[in-house]
Amino acid sequence: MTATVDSPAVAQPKPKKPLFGKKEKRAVLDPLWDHNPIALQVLGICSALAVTVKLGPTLAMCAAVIFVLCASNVVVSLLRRMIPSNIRIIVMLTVISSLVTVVSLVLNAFMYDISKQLSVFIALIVTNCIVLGRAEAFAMANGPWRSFLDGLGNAVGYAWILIAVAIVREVGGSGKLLDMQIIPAAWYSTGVQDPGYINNGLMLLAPGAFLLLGILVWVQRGISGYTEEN
Amino acid sequence: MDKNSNSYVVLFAVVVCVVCSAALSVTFNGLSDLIKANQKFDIQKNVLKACRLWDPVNEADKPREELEQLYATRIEQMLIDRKTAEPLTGKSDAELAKIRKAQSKINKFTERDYLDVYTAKDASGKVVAYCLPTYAYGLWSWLSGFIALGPDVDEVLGITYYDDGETPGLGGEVNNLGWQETWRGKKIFDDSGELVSIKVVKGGASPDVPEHVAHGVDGLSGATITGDGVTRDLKDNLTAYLPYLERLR
Repeated sequence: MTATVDSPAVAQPKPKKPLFGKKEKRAVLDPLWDHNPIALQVLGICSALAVTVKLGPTLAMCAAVIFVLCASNVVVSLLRRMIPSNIRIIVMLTVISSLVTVVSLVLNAFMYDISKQLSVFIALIVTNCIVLGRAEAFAMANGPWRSFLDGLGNAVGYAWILIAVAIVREVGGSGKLLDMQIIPAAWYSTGVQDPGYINNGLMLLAPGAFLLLGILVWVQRGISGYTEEN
Repeated sequence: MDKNSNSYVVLFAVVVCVVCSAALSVTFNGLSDLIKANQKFDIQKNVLKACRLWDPVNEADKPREELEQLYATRIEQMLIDRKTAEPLTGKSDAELAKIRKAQSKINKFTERDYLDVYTAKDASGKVVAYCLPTYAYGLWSWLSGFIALGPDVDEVLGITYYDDGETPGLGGEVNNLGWQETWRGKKIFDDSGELVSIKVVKGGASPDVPEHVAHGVDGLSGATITGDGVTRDLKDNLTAYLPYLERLR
């Protein structure tokens, strides 16, 4: 008999995995910068362009995506050993669309005006590639806790870019932030002759969001040093 | 059980569907009263907005109770007989709701027997606006809105579209407040008293065309079909109201 067999440590259950080990940290932090879903993978662009005119609706959209992404990752991860592989995408979509419908109903019940401003884009979270992508690439292969953290990381990685774009667009386009006037009314031009401040109308339109997003991706990649492979 | 056998796949799919639908039904039932109340309040807000009793741009922060109070005291909703323009009286709320439900299934106003009318009064009780529901079929969907006419039953006070399924940024711009503002002051009757309605003009209403000055508004870029639908169905709606409008004039 060897000493190891005799040792009491073997009889005990496996040493508990740390709640925040190296892998858990990576699951949350990687998508924030190094593997940002928008800046590096260029996913979820449609909603990033559409809902970022004002900060208020953007925050609601971000909260909705954070909830859906975390919840769908956890549910898919819990079911991962049971899901038959040939219908796994359908099962994931069923789970995701149910969660999105719940979010949409909750918004309708408690934040009706914002849900009207977000119009179809809440429903379109179903087709947001980030959500299905994380379920397929991560949650199918990892436990619920790690999947939750991965969902949180990716959703927050998506959210901070949207919020950054929305702040620039609302301040630049309407001089306001969260519907409060930021740029003093006294600065504004009052007529054709008056050389005062004028809101940048481009910021309110989709091309303005495209330009901002392009600049943001450029700066982010410049700092993180990411280049497309040839 | 083999995870890839047909029976397991079917069983699993059924269980997932049942669980998901159960969760959705519970959520919907729990929230449907709140959602219905929100929708009702949204319609009230839009009537107030079209009648110029509430300005969403400059007084957006009015509390809900205040607006509901304003609606209750200033707006009167009634059903009128389409052909005779007589108000429908002596019916209980439940009967009226039943009639409204039956009528709402007929898309063309000119084929309905009864039509809704909202009258708005100022603080002294004088009628300041007649607000008529309007529905138009755009590119993908029905747009629901209101058009409010001034006391002369000719000049447009305000228009509002509060529900649509059009493309956001294109046809969905019918809910753009700036665009809706361009309707103000347009006239639905011409000088001879003929109903001409309002035309949404592709490429913009020209100041050189007399018809456009009085009866035309700028079209929305990228939303020609939505604009055409608004033009077509608004005229149809107003034609149905003609006996009532003629009577008021």
